[in-house]
Amino acid sequence: MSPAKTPSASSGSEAIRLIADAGDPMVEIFVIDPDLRRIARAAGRLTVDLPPGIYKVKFKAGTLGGTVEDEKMVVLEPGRIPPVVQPSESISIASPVPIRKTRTSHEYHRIPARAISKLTHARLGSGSRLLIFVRDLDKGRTDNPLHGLTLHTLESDAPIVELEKTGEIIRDFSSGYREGEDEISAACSLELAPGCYRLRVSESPWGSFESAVVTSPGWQTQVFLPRRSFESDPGKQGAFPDLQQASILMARPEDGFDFENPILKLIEKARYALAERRAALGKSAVDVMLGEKFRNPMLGLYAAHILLLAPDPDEGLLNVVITNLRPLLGEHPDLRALELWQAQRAGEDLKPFSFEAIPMLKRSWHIVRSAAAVSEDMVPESSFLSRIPGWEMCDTMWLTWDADAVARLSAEKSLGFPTTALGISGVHTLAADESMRDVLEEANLDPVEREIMAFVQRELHLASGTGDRTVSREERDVISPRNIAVDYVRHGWWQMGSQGSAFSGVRDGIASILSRDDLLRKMGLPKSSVRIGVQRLLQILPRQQVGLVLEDNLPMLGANKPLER
Amino acid sequence: MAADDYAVIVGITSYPGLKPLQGPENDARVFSEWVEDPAGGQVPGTNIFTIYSSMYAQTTMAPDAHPWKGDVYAAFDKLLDLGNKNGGRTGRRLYMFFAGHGITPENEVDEAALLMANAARGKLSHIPGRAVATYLRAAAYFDQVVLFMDCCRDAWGTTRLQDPDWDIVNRSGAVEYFFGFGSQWNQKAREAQFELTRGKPEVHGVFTSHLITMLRGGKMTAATLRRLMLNSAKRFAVPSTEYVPVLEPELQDSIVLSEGAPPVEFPVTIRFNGLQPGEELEVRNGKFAQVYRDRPQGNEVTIRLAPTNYEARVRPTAREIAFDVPGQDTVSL
Repeated sequence: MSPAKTPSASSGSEAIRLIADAGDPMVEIFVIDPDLRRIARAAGRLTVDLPPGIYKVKFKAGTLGGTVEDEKMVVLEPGRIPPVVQPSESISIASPVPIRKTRTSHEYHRIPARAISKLTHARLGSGSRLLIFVRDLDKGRTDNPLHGLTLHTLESDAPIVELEKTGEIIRDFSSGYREGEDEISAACSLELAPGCYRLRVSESPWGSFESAVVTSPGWQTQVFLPRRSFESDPGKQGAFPDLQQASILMARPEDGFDFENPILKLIEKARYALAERRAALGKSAVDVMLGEKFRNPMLGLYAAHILLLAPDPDEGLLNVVITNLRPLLGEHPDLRALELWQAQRAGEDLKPFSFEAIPMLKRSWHIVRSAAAVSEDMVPESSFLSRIPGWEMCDTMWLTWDADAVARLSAEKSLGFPTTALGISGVHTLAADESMRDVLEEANLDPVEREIMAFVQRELHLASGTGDRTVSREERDVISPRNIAVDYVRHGWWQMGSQGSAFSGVRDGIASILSRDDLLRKMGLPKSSVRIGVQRLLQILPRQQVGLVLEDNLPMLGANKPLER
Repeated sequence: MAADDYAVIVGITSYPGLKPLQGPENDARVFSEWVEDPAGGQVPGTNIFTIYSSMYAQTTMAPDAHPWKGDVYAAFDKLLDLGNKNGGRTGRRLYMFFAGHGITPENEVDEAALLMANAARGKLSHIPGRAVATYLRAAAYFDQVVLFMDCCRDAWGTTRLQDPDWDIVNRSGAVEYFFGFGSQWNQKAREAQFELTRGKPEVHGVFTSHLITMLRGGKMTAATLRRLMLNSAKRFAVPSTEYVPVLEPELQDSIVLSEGAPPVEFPVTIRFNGLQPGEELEVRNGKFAQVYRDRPQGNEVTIRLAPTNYEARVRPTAREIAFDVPGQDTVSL
């Protein structure tokens, strides 16, 4: 237990001790004072000395899709012995995992999940196992929850398994399941070679999305997905497996999914804590997690990232976690990302780090992504991983990306990076009736390309003496070749070069980014991804014939008049 | 009277292309009433622009349904024109209140976008509240910008943020702001029946109902409003659902709300099972100052209390209960 920080107001002799005990290290506790200000915070158990007064104690725990809370009032008054404040009942969480004593768990999910985890629906290789379990949280649907789920290798877009065809719908009538009335579930259990796979969800209202699933030698990776409802047509409900809310566990294949294992609730609460970026979990919670990681290495990965949330992470403890996880997991991109963090802190050579496999946790990816900004070999340009930046779903715990967009990028042939003669091509073919706006707005830039353009714009501001002007998030969203061109004219950047190569300033700016480590670090994207973006931009710009448009306007601009439309 | 304060208030209930709602127009109306109230926002009626579904012809065709974006932006355009004719300053404070369906456009985790009546799947026409408020802050047409939005914020990966098409104006000067959203990113806002007017229950957004109840409490800074709302959110949540409003920034003491009202207090009804001879009801605040001591008749008494924690007790016996205000409007001993 870690005592909460004692508020300064309590330093007088009258201070009375308040103890709040959630009975669970993963529950956060807050104390609200009579001025309605939050004055103390701890995880699991809180002890704080306070001036006499009436206080509110809030208990809060993460759960599926949000949080659960409970509140208690407590009077601290001389002569009255305050009780140990506890939540009304154990704060009950909901989880995609059918764990006993959670709000959404049913026997007709739990028992079949355990049985299926030990079956094999398909043998695609050997050495590791994968269980995918999907269930509705809403009652009454009868369609297969595995619909639209496919498993892919990193190399091929063709699925290695269509889970709907391979897995099974669970109908455990002996456990009381009522078809068409209760929450339907389905599962697929596979044996396959250890490695990194892509789990794809198609037919969501937003298109197709993917997350990485890593299987390790001698372990079963268990992916539990809730289904999320949406209105497919007015008045008609659809549903799709929600990768954002996935819970991923690991177990020895001989154990399979053991819904009675008390460690499961701990893992779920740790996952929620990480998803909500709660570094407040006390040392006791982290100690429990680290002690249990041998039975489920996901706890070790969560604990490591929770430790990293602290402003000054406990490097000694992290080293222990990483060292212990290595023999358990072998080669695993999330573990490798933690080792990369370790090597960076120690100032070690980062050359041995190369990521072809995709980390499951977004936090792992962030470590890799920023380190790869100036180390092109870390995320090779040929890798699937280099296509993901810009297409990650935001604010999710798992690295999830827009599969359609990444597939489009991957399908494009390598454009070849021109190293010389960055002049404008095709400038004389612009149709007379095409307006500048129409032509330039055709460019539909990818997020990485927009980011590159934002940096080019800033650099051009600097070069033209218009100052170090940081491009805001809002501005970045409207960056386009057209806007750059407008700025180009407004600020007289064209005067920096000859009129014949009017737009070479922007083109040169784009090309030079790859040799500017300072900019690459600021962008925080893998250099290989930036290279792909640069190549695409250099192709787009001549196609948009910006140069000609500007050339046409140059006589008018000679008087430094802003471009009028 | 806040003579140079303005308000743009939008309530959209009718969505031919989506599920219709019941509460947004009621929400917009009660907010409009508060904003004009001498004990509320004190905004002159002529400075309040209201845009409701019922102002337009009803249709079953989504593309024909109003208000469109242009209907709403027309109100803002008037305010911008006014400012442009007045050296760039329109007034002291702008209130923006939007209620209806909403989303979070692609990669805009902080945004809440109000869907227009002509929104339909594949074409979610919207007004991004934060982006509009941020623009107005940068352009400094007002000294203060207050934004409230009661709508869902489902993450909608296929809809890009639709910025207003105003020219970029960046003026120096710190524009104070206070933003309140009825839901967190990728969370639902909900509506239910509330009795904001005694004896007249009607459907309102949870957030609006909560907001109006707090604003009616009395004069307070935006920072106080935030504290009150975060401490009383549980009371307004629809059972079995989560309701965590987003209110920012945390410390906004420069914006004073309900300026013409007395200091903030809320009515609390204390129920007790009759007092025996010699017994009294006492209420002490969180710092043990006595705020009420009497021997009321009957089985309950309603008193107005300032926001803090309290203990009600029957003296000299030991019946007692601790409670917080705002948080509980009825407590039983």
